[in-house]
Amino acid sequence: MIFIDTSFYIAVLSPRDKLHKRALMLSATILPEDSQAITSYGVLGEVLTVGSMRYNRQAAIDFVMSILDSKIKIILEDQKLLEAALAVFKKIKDKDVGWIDCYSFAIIDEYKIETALSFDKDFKHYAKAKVLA
Amino acid sequence: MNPVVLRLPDDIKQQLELESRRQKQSLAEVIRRAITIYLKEKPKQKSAAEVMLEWAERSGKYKSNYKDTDLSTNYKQYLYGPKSGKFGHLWKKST
Repeated sequence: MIFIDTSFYIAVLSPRDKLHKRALMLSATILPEDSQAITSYGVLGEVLTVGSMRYNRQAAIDFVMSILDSKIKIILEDQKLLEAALAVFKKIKDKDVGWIDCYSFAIIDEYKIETALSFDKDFKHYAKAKVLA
Repeated sequence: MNPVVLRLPDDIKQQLELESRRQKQSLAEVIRRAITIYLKEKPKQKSAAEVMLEWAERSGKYKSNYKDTDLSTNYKQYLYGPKSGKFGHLWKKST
């Protein structure tokens, strides 16, 4: 299973992004047909918001719709994950690490995900998974 | 097999009954075949890689007034504002 983070989706979304080609190369090589990709609604919310603010609102909507229509598994919030994410949030002392990241770290722990696609330094620092960037 | 109760519009029910008489099969059998054909022909959901690579082909049609090349690495600044100068792990490493 592979977790996909906001930073990776944004690199794919915007062709102007300096990591766009890198993200596509990783998509072609690291995401084989049979691999289970996982993400959260919080991550997609960030993609929608920042995509709308700094790229193109309709593009962000169309991109997220294509993710929702795909085999990518979207993890819904539940009580267990919320409590796990809160525990991660309390444990991390770095005040710049946000809730959506902590929720992602909790999903990685809960689903025992070994690999994550992310260009986020906080993610590389705190996620208990091999982060490919 | 498990029983399923469903409501159908009159015109679809009539077509299924007609098909049942034509094929000399029970209505249930005709419906089972129709569902089987639908499930086989239903468009396959795309994998993550297909979504990303297909997006790369589509993305050129969208215009943007922004010239950001650092959105993937600095999106948090756009969403949440500048990072704390004191308490981030990057600050800790540099001291």
